[in-house]
Amino acid sequence: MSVEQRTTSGSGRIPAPRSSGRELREPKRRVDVLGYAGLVVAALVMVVPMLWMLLASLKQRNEIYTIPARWLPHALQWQNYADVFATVPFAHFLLNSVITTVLGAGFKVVLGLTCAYALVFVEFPGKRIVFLVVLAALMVPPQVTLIPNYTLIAQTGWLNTYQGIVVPGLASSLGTFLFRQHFQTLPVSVLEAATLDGAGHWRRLWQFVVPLSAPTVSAVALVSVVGEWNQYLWPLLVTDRSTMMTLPVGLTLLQNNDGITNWGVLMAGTVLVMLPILLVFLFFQRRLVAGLAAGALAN
Amino acid sequence: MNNLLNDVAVPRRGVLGLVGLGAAGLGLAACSGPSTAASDDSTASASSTDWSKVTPADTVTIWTNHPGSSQAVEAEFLTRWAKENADIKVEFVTAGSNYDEISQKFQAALTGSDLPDLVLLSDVWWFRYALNDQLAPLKELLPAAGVKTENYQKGLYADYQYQDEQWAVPYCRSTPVFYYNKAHWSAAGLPDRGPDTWDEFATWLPKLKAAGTGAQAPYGLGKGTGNATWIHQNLIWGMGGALSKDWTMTVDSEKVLAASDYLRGYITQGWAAVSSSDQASDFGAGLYSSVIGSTGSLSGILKAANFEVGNAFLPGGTAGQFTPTGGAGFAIPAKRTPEQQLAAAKFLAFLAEDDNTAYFSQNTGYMPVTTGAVDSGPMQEVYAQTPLFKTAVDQLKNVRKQDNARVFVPGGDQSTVTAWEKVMLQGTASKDAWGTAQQEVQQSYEADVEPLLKS
Repeated sequence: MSVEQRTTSGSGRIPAPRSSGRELREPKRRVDVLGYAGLVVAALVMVVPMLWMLLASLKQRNEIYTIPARWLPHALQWQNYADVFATVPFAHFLLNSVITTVLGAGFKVVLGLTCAYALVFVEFPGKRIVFLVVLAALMVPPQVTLIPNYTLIAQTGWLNTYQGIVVPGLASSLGTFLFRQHFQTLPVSVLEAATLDGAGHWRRLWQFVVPLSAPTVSAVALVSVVGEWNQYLWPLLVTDRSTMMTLPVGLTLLQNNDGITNWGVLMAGTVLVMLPILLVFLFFQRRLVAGLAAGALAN
Repeated sequence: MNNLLNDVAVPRRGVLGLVGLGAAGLGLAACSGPSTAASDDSTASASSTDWSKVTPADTVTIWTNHPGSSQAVEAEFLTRWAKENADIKVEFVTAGSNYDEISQKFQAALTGSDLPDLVLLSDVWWFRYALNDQLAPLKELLPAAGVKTENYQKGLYADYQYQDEQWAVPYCRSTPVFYYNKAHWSAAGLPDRGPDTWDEFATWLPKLKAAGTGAQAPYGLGKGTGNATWIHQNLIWGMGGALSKDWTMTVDSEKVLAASDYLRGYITQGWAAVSSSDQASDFGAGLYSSVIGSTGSLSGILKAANFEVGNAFLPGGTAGQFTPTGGAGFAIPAKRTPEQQLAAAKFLAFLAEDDNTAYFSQNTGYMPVTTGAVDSGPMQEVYAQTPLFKTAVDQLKNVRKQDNARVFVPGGDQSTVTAWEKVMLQGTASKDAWGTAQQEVQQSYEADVEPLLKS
């Protein structure tokens, strides 16, 4: 409805009261300023600790503790980064993290896509119940499933294996939910045309549905990648050997119980853990927003 | 002191028989586990194994968190072990970054069969596993594996006794000690010693605050589990209180509230600030003029500090001068086969050799857990060079058994730590904070401990 006209419950139109452009712009400008101020504060809350971490990773131990806090290092202490590699088998942890993240996130996306496709485009009895189960799974805290999953993995002989780290988390109810919501917004005509072309479910999914859902796929993939990369408790439980540890678990080797933690080295390790995922996130952030919005706007 | 530790046999129940041996004997006897009568069947499984007919397994897996930055020490142990025992391969596994994480991992592992042969369990964790028959009884196993149990410091060894059985052995054991920055002490015109009492400390704190030392506060309070309550039991005991009397929970009793308010007063007057849960690092960096921290932090503090460090016994109160012991010991899971248990116990025998105990102690700061190690040449040399290492050992005469509410009730440490933190950090009224903790601890005791206690 335009600003110029307001419609009553009948069909008649009543002219809107005249107002100058300036009057309209003032509140909008105020809203903009407040909005941007909020964004700046939110950004600072997130960026300042990261900046502190980065700078601390380049400081000597005693510099980290100066009061009042000194932000910039007196001299760049690159030795902290060298110490990370000298103290723990960092390259090995990195490899493990990459493998588990690629496998875990990859399977999560594929399983989410296929499950959501079935929920939207395949007719089968109890479809609604299956969706309710998916929704219910969203409500279950992952900690609740730790012990049953551990028991299963231990009995399967999968402790200290990649599949032991990855398999229990493959079913992503969030991914399935987002994909389902998005698939419901897709134009039916495209899929009907695909069916007329003789495309089966598999081809319809990969050649038509997925290309039309690129932003949502990117969003779910990114959320999955971040989740897998940052996992701590589960890999800690199912890995004993340092050869199988992922980066977040491996970082514990830089911490000390009753010893003195060298925070410069620990911060350097943390920067190295965060950096790859931060770069991935920055690269895909637009798609993430678009994808999540696409999922949220579905009716 | 050391002779006393050698000579005093600590009885299982009570300490009445030790009255004639004086305060030191009493203090150490009080380290023993909870006093409940043994039932005849409690050690049936242990007695049923004829250890002389068991051949040890060829591998030993140890779950640890490398306390006191001990990775290098462990590596040295493996080298020494391999020279004498090529037939048994030993591996140290990182099972978490702290005692709580090891126990979480162990808790999960108990549902399967992939368990370690030795697991490092802290003062607040071992009892629940012993109570649930998840640890192997060691009374007969240790001598069979060649462990000289009489060589352990009596009080530290008795810490792991329950139902006339031994459930673990001491490894990285500590008492909290009072650390102070000698330069700050000097600037404030204070004598070069720790405060004898908390009240004396209260007269020193304004002087430290006024001395312009550059410290954030004269005293840094540690927070977090395994830390805040462990340390400040000393204050509660000194005021004549306790978090529990045997199995009666007294978490919100008058004396506990008084201790809580007393410490809160330090903060409101600007004499103290809440440190991180790593107050030793903060102290080593000069952030606080003094902290109470684990003796296991000593080596790290000495390496990190660019000032002269002093340490002392914990301050006393009107009711006396007491200290808790802390740290962790090694236990053997009950689910392991006799062969695996024997191999694990053989490694415990190796760790209990005086040379190895002394080596671990001098490289971490933890107390030597065997009397022979205390008297050994290497440790005497360390004590001569750095007398600070001896403080914790000398302080054993003030040792008091920790309150059951903290160490034997699941979640007790967490609940009481939360109460401390609410009062110190948020200014919550002591009555409210400790009232909540009392409810939680009481519920946990009734649900998880009381039904399992054998009368």
